[in-house]
Amino acid sequence: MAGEVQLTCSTHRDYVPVLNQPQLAYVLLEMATTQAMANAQMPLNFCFVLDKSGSMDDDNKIAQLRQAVKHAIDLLQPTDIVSIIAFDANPKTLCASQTAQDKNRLKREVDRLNASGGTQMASAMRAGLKEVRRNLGRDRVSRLVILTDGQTEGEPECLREAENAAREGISVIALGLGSDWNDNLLMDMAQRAQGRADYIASPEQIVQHFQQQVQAGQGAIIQNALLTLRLMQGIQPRKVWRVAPLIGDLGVQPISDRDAQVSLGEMVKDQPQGVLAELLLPPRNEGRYRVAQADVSYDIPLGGIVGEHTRADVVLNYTSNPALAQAVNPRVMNIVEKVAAFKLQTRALQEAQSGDRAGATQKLRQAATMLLGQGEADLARTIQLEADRLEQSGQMSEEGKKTIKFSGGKTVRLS
Amino acid sequence: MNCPSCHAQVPDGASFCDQCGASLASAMPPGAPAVPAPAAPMSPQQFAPAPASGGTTCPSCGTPFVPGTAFCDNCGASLTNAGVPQPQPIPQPQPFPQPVAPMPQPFPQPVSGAMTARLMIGGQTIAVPQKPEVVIGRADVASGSFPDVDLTPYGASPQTGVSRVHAKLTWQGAWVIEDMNSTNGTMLRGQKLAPHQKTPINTGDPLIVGTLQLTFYAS
Repeated sequence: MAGEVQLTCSTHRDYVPVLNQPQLAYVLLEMATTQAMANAQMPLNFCFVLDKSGSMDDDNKIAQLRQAVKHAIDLLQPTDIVSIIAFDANPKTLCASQTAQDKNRLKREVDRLNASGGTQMASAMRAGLKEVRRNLGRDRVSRLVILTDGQTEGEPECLREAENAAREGISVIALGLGSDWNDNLLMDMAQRAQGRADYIASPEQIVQHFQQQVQAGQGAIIQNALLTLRLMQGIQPRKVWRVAPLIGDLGVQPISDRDAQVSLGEMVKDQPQGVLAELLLPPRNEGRYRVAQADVSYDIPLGGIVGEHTRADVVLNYTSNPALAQAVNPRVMNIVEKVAAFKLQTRALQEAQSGDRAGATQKLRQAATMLLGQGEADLARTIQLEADRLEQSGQMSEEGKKTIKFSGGKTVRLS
Repeated sequence: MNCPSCHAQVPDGASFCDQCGASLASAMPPGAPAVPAPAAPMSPQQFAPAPASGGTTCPSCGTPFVPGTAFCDNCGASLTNAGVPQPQPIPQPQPFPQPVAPMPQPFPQPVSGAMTARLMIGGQTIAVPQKPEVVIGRADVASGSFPDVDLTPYGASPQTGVSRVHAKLTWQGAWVIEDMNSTNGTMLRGQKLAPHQKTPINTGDPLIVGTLQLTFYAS
């Protein structure tokens, strides 16, 4: 069966000028699950690994956390598998791995969650992996959902546990609450375990983040998606970005002089994926060219489908007519601009870290201007504020830095 | 059969050459201009001559870039059409009649395509009237100032540094912008404009009028 995934390609211009030197073209590839997959839902094998250290007593955090876990339990199917580990300096298994049939009993266990003690995340991850391992299988989405509000002891062990998880096909979602946690650690863990890190600014947002995680797990019906670009002779792929649901550099693997491959991982239903490829085009005479063939291969564990394909052509016209070569596709250009703003923010954070105050301020201001023009007013305001703060005091706020780091990549919404 | 462009062997019925990508269909798609299909073998001499002025450095920070790049990798300035070598000289647009009376002349017929432009501010779109000269500023009944684009609904006031006659867009086959000697100045792509100096403005360019941040789109 084919037709579970729809792939469409658009370029930033339909016509590029005939030049005697290479030029850059932007290609937007959009992938979405089709109507055929509307009712599909993946069974889960989730372990919630929850920080119950003393600091969770502040600002009603622990109460909000209890509520968020209970809400997540409500969203589970009776056949989903769930376990809950609470940790301070030591892990404690609140619920061993089990199906979510008796939700009331599970929720009663959640009520035992009280804040006290230190923070030792690695041993809790180990305990969580032990629970998830009991029901591992390709037909389930196996995942650790970790929430922490503080700095942990034993960071290298956390990274090792993330790698152990990845080896067994268990992904790690690492959620940081408030401003006092190490974002580099959480991002690194998530990256090593094909997961995602995110920033929860205030306790009342925990519930919404947990809901998103359950729904994203249930919707992760497409696995092992792999994009292959077969390029026209002479084309160099310069960069390949994921743009939606989250902007990030995908890294491009040349597999021959004509083919480049990018791993897309899982695809979530109702959450279109976007990829922006920057291709360096060689000089060509006037005419119409297929500059690349895009091929996405994927698996659908629910239907026992392995290695299904969908393909699309990327076609461009070379022209000597300057008026034609000037017209751009505004939709693609908006996304190119959002990626440019994201790059500026990333570089600004690095420059601020290394003490280049002027460079960082200038880049933040430029990013804010671009985002404001794109209607991303809240993010632009935060960036503007942090630019002012950096210029005046040489420091950015922890909250501002985390907002920029984690929201800066969420600006592209495909529909 | 062989590709007419690179002579590589291609299977019968293929629509594109697998080697050089050239279209093997004899007819161009509807709506495409009548340009010849790539029939001649590639030879470097056929390409357009090199641009007279190198021109492939960012106008804002001077970082070199590959033609076609949309935003400067270093400073983020918009590079759409900036310094990109043109394959041919741009055809001269018909000169627009200068308005004799101070009253803006209604245009005899709607001008289509390229002369349209818009400004974006905080997610809102401001339509730019289809005229060869468009004054941007702040309406002030007392002094009889009625700019073509009034930024008052978008926050323009003396406090936000917008002058009554602040800047002017002019269509010269492409859009140019000039600061009208405004009190607080106009910034294009992060650079302050000298008064009354016409500077090309490209789609996607950030524009700061007083303290209002806008983005210009030619579309």
